[in-house]
Order: sequence, then C-alpha cells, then structure tokens
Amino acid sequence: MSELHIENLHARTEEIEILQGVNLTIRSGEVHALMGPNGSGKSTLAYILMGRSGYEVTKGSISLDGHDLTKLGTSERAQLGLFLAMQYPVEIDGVTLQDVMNESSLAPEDFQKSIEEESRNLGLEGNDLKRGINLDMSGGEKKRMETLQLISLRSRIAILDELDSGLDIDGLRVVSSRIERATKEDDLGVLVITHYSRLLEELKPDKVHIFVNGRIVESGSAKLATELEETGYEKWTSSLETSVNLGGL
Amino acid sequence: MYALELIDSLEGENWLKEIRKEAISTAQEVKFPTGQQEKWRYSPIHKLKLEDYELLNHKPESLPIRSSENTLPSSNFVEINDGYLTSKSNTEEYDIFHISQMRSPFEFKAGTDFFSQLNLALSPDPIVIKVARNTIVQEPIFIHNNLTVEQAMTFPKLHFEIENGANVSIVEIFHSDNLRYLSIPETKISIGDGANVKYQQVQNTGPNVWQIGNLDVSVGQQATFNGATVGIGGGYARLESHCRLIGRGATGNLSAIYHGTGEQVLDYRTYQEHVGRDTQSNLLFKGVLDDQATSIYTGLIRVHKDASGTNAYQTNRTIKLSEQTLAESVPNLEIENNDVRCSHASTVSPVDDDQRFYLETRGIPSETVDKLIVRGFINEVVQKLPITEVNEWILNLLSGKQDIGNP
Repeated sequence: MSELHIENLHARTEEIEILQGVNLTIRSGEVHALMGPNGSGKSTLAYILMGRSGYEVTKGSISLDGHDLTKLGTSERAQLGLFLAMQYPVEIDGVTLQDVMNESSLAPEDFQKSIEEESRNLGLEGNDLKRGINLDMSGGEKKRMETLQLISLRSRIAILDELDSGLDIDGLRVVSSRIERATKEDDLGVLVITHYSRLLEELKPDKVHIFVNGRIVESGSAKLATELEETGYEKWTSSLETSVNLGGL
Repeated sequence: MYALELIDSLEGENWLKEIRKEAISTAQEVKFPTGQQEKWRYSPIHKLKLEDYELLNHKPESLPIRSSENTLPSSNFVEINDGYLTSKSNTEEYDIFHISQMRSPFEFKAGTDFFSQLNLALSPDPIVIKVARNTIVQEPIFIHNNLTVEQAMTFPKLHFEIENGANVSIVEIFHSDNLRYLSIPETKISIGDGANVKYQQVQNTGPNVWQIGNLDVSVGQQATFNGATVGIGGGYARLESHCRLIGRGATGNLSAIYHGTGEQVLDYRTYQEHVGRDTQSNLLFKGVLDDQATSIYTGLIRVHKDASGTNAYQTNRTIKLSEQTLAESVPNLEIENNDVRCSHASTVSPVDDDQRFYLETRGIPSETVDKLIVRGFINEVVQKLPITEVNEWILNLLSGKQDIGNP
C-alpha cells in the first residue's frame, strides 16, 4: 500500500507563485483526475511533484510512504515508485528503451520477456525498442512508450500528464485499459491530468479535482467531469478575481 | 633546434639528407606559427617551446603488448616507437619500406606549413607501406605509434600507397604513458582509382603530451576513403586532416569523436577538398567536453572550379558537461562551381535539461543519466566508425574517459 500525500503545497519560480496551497492524497489502486483550464498550473504541479529544477517549494509538504520528497532529487523520487508520464515525451538520440531499462534501478531483472509482451499489447513494434527513445515517433506512439515504461518500471504512483493528447481513439482505449488493469492487479495509484473526459470514460476516476490558479477549488465524484464537459470552467474561474497570469503553465 | 647537425645524426642516404636540409630551410622561412594565423586561431601554440624537447636520434626498443590493447587482433601490425619502426608482423599482403635505407630517391610531397616541413626534415625513419594493385588485405593493419621517452620530440612519418583496386583497413593508434612529449606525426594515404580504404585513428596519449598531427589523404577515381578519428588523450592534441577528392566520383568521409577533460585542448582542422567531378564527402565530428577542457573545430569545404556534381556535407556538434569548458566551432565553405550540393552545421550546447529530467523520472541515477546522454550523443558517430572490429575497444576507452572525467 502506497500513499502520495500533498499538503498545503506552495511553490514558485523566480518570477511567480505557481502553487497556492495544494492538498491531495492518492493511495494505491485509486484514480484521481485533475482537470483545469490552460495555464492553471497542472503540468507544473506534476513537475514539482517529480522534483524538476527551477521551482522552489516555499511551504507545505510532499511525501510518498512517509519519505519527504521535497528533499530528494528526481531520480530518487522515481526510485521510490513515483512516475511521471510526460505530456511531451522527449526524444533522445542514441538512448534506447533497452538502455533505460538496463540503467534504471526500478527495472526488474527479468524485464526482457515482459517488455516484449507488453509492447506488443500496447501496439508497439519491436524496432521501436531499439531506436532512440521517442525518436521520430508520432504523438500516439510516444504515449504508448510512456505507458510501456510506466508498466515495466513497476511504479507505485503514476502522474499521467495529458496522456490522452496525441492518441487516437483506439490508442486511447489500449493505453487506458492497460493502466486500469494495473490499478486493479498491481495496485497502481494514478493522478490523471487531462482536459477531456474521454480518457476518464476508460480510466474511471474515484475522484475528480478542479484545479484553478494553482490550487484545487473543488473535488467530487466522476460526475464532476461530465458536468465540466457541459459547463466548462467558467463557474470556477469567474469566481476568482485574483486571476494570475501563469504564463501557459 | 634548427642545427643541421641534427640532420647529420639521422640515418639516410645523401638524397634524403638533401631533402631534409631543404625542408629545414623552408621551415625557417615559413617560421613558427602564431595564434594570429587563421590556421592556428584559438590554439595555445604560443605556449609550445621546441627547445624544451630533445630530438631522439636513436632507435628505441620494441615494447610488449599493453594490457589495454591485448583484445585487439595482433596478426597484422607495425610498431613505431618514437618515430622508428621497431617491430612488424610478417606478411606478403603488402610491402614495407624504410625510406632511410633506400638508395634511390623517394618522392615526398609534404605540406608547406612549418610542422610538415619539420616532420619531413627530422623524421628519422620514414616508412612507406605499399598495397599492390587489386590486393585485398584481409585483416586490418594496426599501426602502434608509441611515445616512450620523457621530453622527447619525435616525428613519425608514414606513407601509404594504396594502388588501384586495392582494399585495406588501417587502425593507427597513438599511445603514451604520462610523460612530457612532443609528437609531430604525419600520415599520408594515396588511394588509387577504384581502391577502398578504411582508416581509424585513435589518439590516446598522456595528459602532458603535445601532439600536432597531420593526416593527408588523396582519393582517386571511383575510390573511397572512410576515415575516423577518436581523440581521448593529449594535453594539446591537434589533428589537421586534408581529404582531397581528385578522381571523378571519389568519396571521402571523415568522422570524429573526441572527449576532453581536465585542461585538455583538442584541436581539429579539416579540409574537404573537391577537385574532381561528381565527388562526395561527408564529415561528422562530435565532441564532448568536461571540466575546463577546450575544443577547437574549424572546417573548410572547398569545391574547385571543375568539380561539378559535388556533394559535400559537414557537421560539428559539441556537448558541454561543465560550464568552464570552451568550444570553438567554425565551419566554412569556399565554392567555385554552381552545380554542387553543400551544407554545414555546427552546434555547441550543454546537456539538454529536458532529456536529463526525462531519464531521471525513469529512476536512472543522476550520475548515470549524463553518461547515457553522452553515449547516445556519440552513438551517431559510433555507427559510422569504419572498422567495426575495434568499436568495442574504442567504446571501452571512451567510457573509461568518462569515468575519469566525472569523478
């Protein structure tokens, strides 16, 4: 049983305050959706949870199974079981998935067999594993690669930052059903960052959180996502007069 | 330094002595270079004092094979210690000549610059290796250039005559332990029509070695030169390479991987010279810099007036692992014909933060991440290294370098 616990988290860049008191707890097997308008700071929250440089946590805490993550670097957080599937997976020439698996301390010893099987299930070709990671891949292929790594590295809590963008409907179904299975079979806890409820039809959230201007302004059941689809974010954004320009973050 | 007695102390017939004297006098006219000259821009050449080194005028002994090289094939080798041929394997696939023992004159074509002339004047034991027409040399020829004497100044000189239709692979290794040394080698490869030459140089000298090297290649009609150099060692290590595509349809490719650490200065000057029609050249140089290391790359693609149908490409990329490193990269084109396709590209950048973050999120320890990115960065060149039998050895040398570079 794992638990990612975020309490009253405030963070900033040199110029601007980005997180203004985030409270959220994600446990093994749970699916949480984080939805919010462009520029509300969703991706930045993902980066800060993962310890990307360039942000300073000014108040509050992030812990995973009792470990204070704010004191740890990115790879150490990952080694504790936190995973970030990126919105824009980076292309790295000359570094293959095989290299990643060989070097990651998370990869199980017998990954070779399972990775081939998983990649087939996710609709990736054998060659995709041998070329530079994400190199010359379509948006959809990159998201399948992210999912393959998430599953193969046996993460405990995964942050999926717009995993749906770039995937077509079939891809979305394949990827989300695989992650859904991991929540059931392997107790994966998930934070899904998305704009659309389509992903949530496949990957059914236990909770939906509305994120505006660096904090969660409302939490509710899966129904909240459906409501959003009809009404948009206006209800929450207009009530906040202190709208801050977050520079597209 | 310029004393003619030096020449008298070297072995050779009178015709060779005359050539040496003339070369000394040309060197005196040309004068020792300065950093103001374009060819020496950015270099620390002003720090080199020839009088700090002594010309070695006796043949050193042969050495046992180093443990770091005992994985390399050893059936086909030439050992050149401090510029003297000290040992070689027996072969009938090619001929080896000591110029200093030849009665009749051998026609040298040395470069006109100071160090080429000095090499011609002071090389004690110039060697010619001749591969006869249509001969296919089965195994790569390993040239082991060992620098062995403290404070010596040596001038290895090696000419390959690859006759029409011949096929040969050459691995030329420069190696030294940690000693103060000045090495001024010149390797010349003349490639006949339809011949095919693969050449791999590995510069793995000690951190206090000055090496000012010259590689001069001429390629005949429909012939191919695939060359690569790997620069690991040296305090100041320079390689000037000229690739002249003379015959119609000649191809000359050159790749490099270099990795500078500490206060090393790695200096590459390249010339892709298209003389004949329908010639093509592709150059890819990739450098890695750490600590306070410096790299210099200047490259010129020169297309002569009659070289229509030329395809010439030149790329230099440098990755900086520390902010104290310095990389100069200057590509140049000089084109006298309109019917050509040429391009050049050059980048100098630190390790990409996005790539680093991405790999860290996969649970790869930070200290491994940079190594992985660097390995990926040079992989493009590794794929092009011409003599695959030695790739594993080269990769081991490079990864050893990285371990030292990032303590």
